[in-house]
Amino acid sequence: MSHTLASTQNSSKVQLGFWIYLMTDCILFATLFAVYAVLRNNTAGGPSASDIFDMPFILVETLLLLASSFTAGIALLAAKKSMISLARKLLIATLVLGVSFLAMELYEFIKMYNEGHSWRESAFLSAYFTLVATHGLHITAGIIWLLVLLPKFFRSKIDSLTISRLTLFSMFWHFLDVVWIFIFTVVYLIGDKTL
Amino acid sequence: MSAPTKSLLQDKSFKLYVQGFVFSLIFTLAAYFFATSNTSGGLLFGITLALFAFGQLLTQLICFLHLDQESKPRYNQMAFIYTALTVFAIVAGSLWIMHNLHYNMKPQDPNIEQKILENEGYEIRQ
Amino acid sequence: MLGKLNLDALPYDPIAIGGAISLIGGTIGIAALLTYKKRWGWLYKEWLTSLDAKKIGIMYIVVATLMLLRGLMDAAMLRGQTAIASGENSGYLTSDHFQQMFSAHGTIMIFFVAMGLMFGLINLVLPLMLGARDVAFPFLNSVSFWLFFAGMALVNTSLIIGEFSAAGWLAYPPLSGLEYSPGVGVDYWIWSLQIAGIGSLLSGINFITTILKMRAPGMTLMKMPIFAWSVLTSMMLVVTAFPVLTVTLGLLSLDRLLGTNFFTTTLGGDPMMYVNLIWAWGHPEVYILILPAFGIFSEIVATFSRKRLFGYKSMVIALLAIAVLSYIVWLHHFFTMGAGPNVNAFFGIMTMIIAIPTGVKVFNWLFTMYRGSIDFKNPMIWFLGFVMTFTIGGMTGVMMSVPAIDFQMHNSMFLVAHFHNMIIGGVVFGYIAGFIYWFPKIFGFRLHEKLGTYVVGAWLIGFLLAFLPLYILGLKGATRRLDHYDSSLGWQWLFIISAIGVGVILLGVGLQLLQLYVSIKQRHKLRDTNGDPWNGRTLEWSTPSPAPFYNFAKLPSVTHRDEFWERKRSKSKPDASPYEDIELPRNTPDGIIIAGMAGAVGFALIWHIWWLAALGLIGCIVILIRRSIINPGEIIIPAAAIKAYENQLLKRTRS
Repeated sequence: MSHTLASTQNSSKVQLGFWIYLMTDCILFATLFAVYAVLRNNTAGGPSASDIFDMPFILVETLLLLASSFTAGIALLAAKKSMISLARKLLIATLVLGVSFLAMELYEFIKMYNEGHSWRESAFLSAYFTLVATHGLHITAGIIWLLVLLPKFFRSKIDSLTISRLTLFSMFWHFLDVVWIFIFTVVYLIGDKTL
Repeated sequence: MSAPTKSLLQDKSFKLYVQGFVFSLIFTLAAYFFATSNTSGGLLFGITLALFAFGQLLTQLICFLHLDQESKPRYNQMAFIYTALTVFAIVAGSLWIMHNLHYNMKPQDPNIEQKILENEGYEIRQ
Repeated sequence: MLGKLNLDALPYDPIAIGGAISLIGGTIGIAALLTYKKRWGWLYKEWLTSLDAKKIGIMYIVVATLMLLRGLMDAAMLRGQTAIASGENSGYLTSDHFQQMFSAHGTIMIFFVAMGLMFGLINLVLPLMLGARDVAFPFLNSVSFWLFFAGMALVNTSLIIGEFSAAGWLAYPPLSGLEYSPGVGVDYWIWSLQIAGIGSLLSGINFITTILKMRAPGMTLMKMPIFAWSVLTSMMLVVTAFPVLTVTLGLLSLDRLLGTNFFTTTLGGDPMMYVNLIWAWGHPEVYILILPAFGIFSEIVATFSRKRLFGYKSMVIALLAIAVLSYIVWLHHFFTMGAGPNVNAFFGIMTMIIAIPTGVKVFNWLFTMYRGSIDFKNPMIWFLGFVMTFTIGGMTGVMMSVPAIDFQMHNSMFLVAHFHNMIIGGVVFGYIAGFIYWFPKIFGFRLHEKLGTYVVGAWLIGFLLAFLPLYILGLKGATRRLDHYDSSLGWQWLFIISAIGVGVILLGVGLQLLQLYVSIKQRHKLRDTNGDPWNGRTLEWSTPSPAPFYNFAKLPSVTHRDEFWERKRSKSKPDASPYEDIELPRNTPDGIIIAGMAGAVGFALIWHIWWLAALGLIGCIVILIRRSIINPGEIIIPAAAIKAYENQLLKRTRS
């Protein structure tokens, strides 16, 4: 078996395995969504969704994440075409957008906490904080991953292993985008409205 | 314009990424303004938002994750469909079960027995 | 500095001290033996750091067997207690200890025995059956095993430091909440399952990828041995169900650690949501366990009936149907929780429907045997025992799928008898049969046949004695988890029979250990010389026994479903192509280190030792990053070495 064939087979194996991992993550989030949907009106006298969410703020967060998903996708394309400097710039853009998203989310959390609305206050807030923070933890993991990956793009050549890892990263990042879309819709847009 | 840049701009998946980005912006903004201008909720509201979210999901799957371009055997698609089925079973099942439980066990409403009897179509004789 | 941990955590009552001493003594004994025989280096190099799926499989089975002995001890103590604790006599266990014991018994038997045996057997034979050299991700496989081990270690640590959960094997809140279980028991339960569960999830990903990507050339999905199909469907359930468990346990621990209100009875929390979620995992879990057992029996029945499996396609369809249907039946575990008639009716009917694909399998096995020339070797005798007990269990299951009947049986000994009927008669019998069947492939000699027959007899009789009385007790109104009852009820003789049954099962397990000992002693007599002791049908029998560490010197190509059988029948010539270099993954201790850190994180969170938790987590991340930067690479075994080794094997076969 020639070496290139072996490495292509290996990367297709890894991609399938990673995709299955993403599917397990999908179920994980689905379960958290189910919990949130069941508990969303159990505010126990505390604030409800419309009392605490700052909608324009959330829209900006969403747009940041969508943009970062786009830059990550183009970065992969550029890397595949050996345009390393473009890929590097786009990855840095992805990093900046991701960190900004995370910072905004943390700011929102801290603000709520300081106003006296913590996860202890009601089942609704427990479910809200857990669901959104789980997504935030995934984003954090993605940022660490990107930081590990980025130094490879400061060289003049990139190997196929780096490209296959960037492929996995971009899958992960797009997936987190998809999850956020559902958080955006279910948690923020629907809020406490009855359906 | 340098040759690699040109090849990037003409690449099919580049166009797909751009289209995807535009679509995702449209879906996000449409859903946002629809939801913030509506204060009452209701079933129609929910269905419309679900449609926007579904459009967004398809955009992400096709334009960014290229799920439709997989060559045979399509294991990723199969895995996705099975996962979607499971997600549906777990989420819809949980909501149905828990809603039904609360309906049957609601402690707050003093007239709940009366209401259940009426809802289930029993005739009440005095 | 040490959180909640202090000297009070050590055991004080005599039975708990006995447990702790036997555990510590056993560990020290093994360590002393290893030191005396100077085997530490060998153990580390050849086993602990190994990425060979067969070795990982053996380690799984060793751990699962030790846990089986512990779970059985718990069971014997429980049934011993109920045999005497009638009326005035309050038995030898306190109520609290009794509760800890049945919680530990359930947890250990499901997570560390059944799951362990399952992953062990899959690791042993799946790559061989598929004509592959290893699983798709050997390193991940090692991580999975060590996470399983870390979870097991945590459960057993609770014997010495602190206590175990007394809230049942699924720890329903509000009982498992902080208010009613303020101790560390529930935390031990949560974190041992959480860690082992993540290991299982990773194994699921690994085996699915192995089946989809590593099959020998020519082996289409429909030419795959049925055991591989059963593993595929079972692992589909693993990867979709275990995340639900992860979340459920995670939320319960958030309730206990950070004061959230998911499953509390105050501030809008909903304990019934926990019951709903844990069973959304729990029901698929029982199919996760039983499907590979079905696969094993399908292989065994075809081999020992000398016929190809009847209705292969219908078998595959049945497996896939179960993979989907098992997600829409979970409410039958809590019919009595308060849902209305339409919900209960839907899930009741779905439960009856899922019995159909299972019934299809039973008929397929019977038709495979029909007009076959049946060879009543041990695995086949296990199969016959299985069909009998499993059918009884299946029928009592269908009975309880009727919500109206379930309202009577719920939480009674009838239920206990039913699920033991499925799990012992189905799962355990299946895995023991599989172990006997594939034992020669892994170790190079068969197990002693006659002693094996006695083992089946003891298990079967013991099982019937232990559980048939429980059906009757359940009908009489005995509830599960009962540690004491009034003597006027007249239940004692049934409980005594049940306790005798447990004794007979223990005798069976003792005979099994004896069988193993005798077989090792007589291994030259029982040697499997040609690699095909049972006249097998699938690819694993085409390799010499014990299978070499690289599995296949030349990767086979496949044209038939029963590839090896067809090759034997057509007397096809051996592959004459030249040997090639083989790449194998390098051994690594990283799996142990990662799992060790995960175990430390678990222990730290149980005892609120925050610095240790942070340290362990950072350690895990650092190891993973280091591994992604410094690729350990492969070792390459040159073609000449393979050729020499194969010739040596061939010579041994001829002599």
